[in-house]
Amino acid sequence: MTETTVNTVNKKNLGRRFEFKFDFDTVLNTFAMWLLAFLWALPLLYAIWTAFHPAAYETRFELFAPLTLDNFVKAWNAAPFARYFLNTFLLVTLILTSQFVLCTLAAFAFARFKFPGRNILFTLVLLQLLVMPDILIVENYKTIRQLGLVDTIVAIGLPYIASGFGIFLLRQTFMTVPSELDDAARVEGVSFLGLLLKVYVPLAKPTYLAYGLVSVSHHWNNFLWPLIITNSVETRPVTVGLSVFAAIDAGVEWSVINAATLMTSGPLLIAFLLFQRQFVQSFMRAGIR
Amino acid sequence: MIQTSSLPTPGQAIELAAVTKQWGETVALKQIDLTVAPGTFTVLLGPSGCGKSTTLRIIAGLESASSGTVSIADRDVTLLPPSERDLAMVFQSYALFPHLSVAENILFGLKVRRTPKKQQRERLLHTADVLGLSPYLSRKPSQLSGGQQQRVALGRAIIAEKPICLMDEPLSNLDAKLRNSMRMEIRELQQTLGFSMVYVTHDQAEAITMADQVVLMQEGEIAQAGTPREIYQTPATIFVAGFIGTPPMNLIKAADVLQATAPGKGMEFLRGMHDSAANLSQSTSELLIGIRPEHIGTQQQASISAKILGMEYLGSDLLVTCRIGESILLARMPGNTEIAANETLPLVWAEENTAWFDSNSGARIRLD
Ligand SMILES: Nc1ncnc2c1ncn2[C@@H]1O[C@H](COP(=O)(O)OP(=O)(O)OP(=O)(O)O)[C@@H](O)[C@H]1O
Ligand SMILES: [Mg+2]
Repeated sequence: MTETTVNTVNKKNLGRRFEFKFDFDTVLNTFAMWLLAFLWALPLLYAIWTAFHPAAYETRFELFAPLTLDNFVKAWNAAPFARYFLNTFLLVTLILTSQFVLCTLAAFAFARFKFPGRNILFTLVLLQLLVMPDILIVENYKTIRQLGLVDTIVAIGLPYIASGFGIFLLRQTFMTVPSELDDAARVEGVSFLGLLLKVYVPLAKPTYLAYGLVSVSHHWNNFLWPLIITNSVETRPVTVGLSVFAAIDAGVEWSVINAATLMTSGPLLIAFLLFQRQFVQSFMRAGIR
Repeated sequence: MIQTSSLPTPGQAIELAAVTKQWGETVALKQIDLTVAPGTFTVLLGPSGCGKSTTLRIIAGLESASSGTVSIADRDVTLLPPSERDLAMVFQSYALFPHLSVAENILFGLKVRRTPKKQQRERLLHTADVLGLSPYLSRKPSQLSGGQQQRVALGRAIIAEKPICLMDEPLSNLDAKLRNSMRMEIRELQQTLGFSMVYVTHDQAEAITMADQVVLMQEGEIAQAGTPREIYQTPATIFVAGFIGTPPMNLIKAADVLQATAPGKGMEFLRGMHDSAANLSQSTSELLIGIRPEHIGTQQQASISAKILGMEYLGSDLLVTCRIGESILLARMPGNTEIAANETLPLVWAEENTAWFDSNSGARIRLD
């Protein structure tokens, strides 16, 4: 966010001063920005380079090196990636739908009902935002074992379903719904659930989209917890699958590993590119920078 | 303008008995008693913050009364939710659902109540036709003008043909011209459909032109309830006298009138205006004389003389601001009256047009 604002401000400055003066400040800023962007994108660029070229070009840069898709084929056949994808897909869907249901109901209660202890409960929900999930790994493992769910997809998602962030975000959005809309619906005889589904949820669509994308990308990329709680092909998500694949024997070529990496992060990248405008907008609208 | 063929909805009576509403320390309504006869148009009028919206929301069931009872059609509904009171409501901001089209907005209530699809369609087409909304049914509210949005809100209220319709300042966001025409349309709609209407406004022109009954509120109490004529002609308190009418009724201290008349003639003059000597024998400093600007005239032989402070020529009328003692008053005279500025003006008014108020209690003194 700050980067783009700096950028537009500088562009304006450029436009105004271009004729008379060489603006040192602007040049430095622009340069630093390009440098940062390049450094940030470097691993991705390298992954793309190696994934689409034969292994011989792993460490050599040649503009007209021959392109190939062999690495992807090799990677796909070397490990049960189809299964991993299915697992991740199930996992992400499970988490997202449960989060939507739970957070919506909780946020609605916090936004529109007055009940004793509401503020204390909401503070507790907010406290959840301060706790790093990784701290709880041991506790979570114990709980999951007691539930007898170790090495299941449900176990990977369970600790994340009651999301404090989601409740907070949706509550804030619900509170901006004009109370006259609420009144109008009540006069027409809508039940509370109907009110939620017919008025609040449709009006909060941008928030759902933004939150959904954050949640999906987070859980698609999550690694540590799935690594600990899963130990079979049937439950492993792609992140864990990828690391297992890259570690089995040192002989695997970088180009194949990178092809696999691209493959696993591809769906996310595409989704982000498709939704990026709505994504940024909804976050601005949701009041988060 | 509006033609409807649908059967009139029989209106229902509304009755508030000793309704009080408070939020913590704030007392919004103090012991309100109000009766709305079936099929009539009642306007709640009053300055900002006097409790009009609160009264309306208590009738609707959107707010609960702290004490007292609300009945609709002789049924105690005090504890019932809005949906079980069988009424429709139009809000000041229209409260249209921005994510739904005009048609879906109008049909909202029917869909909630699962009215058969065929009936929904028929009623929608009819309502849209009545309100001139047919070309816009598939648009979103944000693609409509203010007046059209207002009609959608009206449509949502009348499609269900409820026996009671409540409106909270539905015209306040429109420009003057549109407001005038919508005023007439709403009144016409109410008369053809025959429902009972409770309408909130702080615009007295709206109240006077539309209402069967005007309820003037002041700080959580009902100052006066009556037909527009009664409210205008016989204001019950100083507040009502000073609120109704543009410009409102003049309130002149009786003591000032005494002094402005020729020496020794004051008492006689006052008595000449009403013969309730008993009232006059109390101190004149506690009495106020109310007289409407249009009832003040000028005549050579008049016994009260006022000092002219200013004149405003309005073509058909001449508005004269003048002073009697400490009291400032406005007189509305025919436009062709010739008055020189800076002159002292001899004033007359007819006895039957005066109202007498007790300046301590603010109440009107009955003269019969
Ligand atoms: N939810 C509330 N909590 C506390 N006080 C309230 C609440 N709603 C209204 N009030 C108070 O009750 C009084 C009456 O309010 P109300 O909205 O009925 O006024 P109104 O006559 O409709 O005024 P306006 O013409 O400005 O709409 C006001 O003093 C207001 O501050
Ligand atoms: Mg109000």
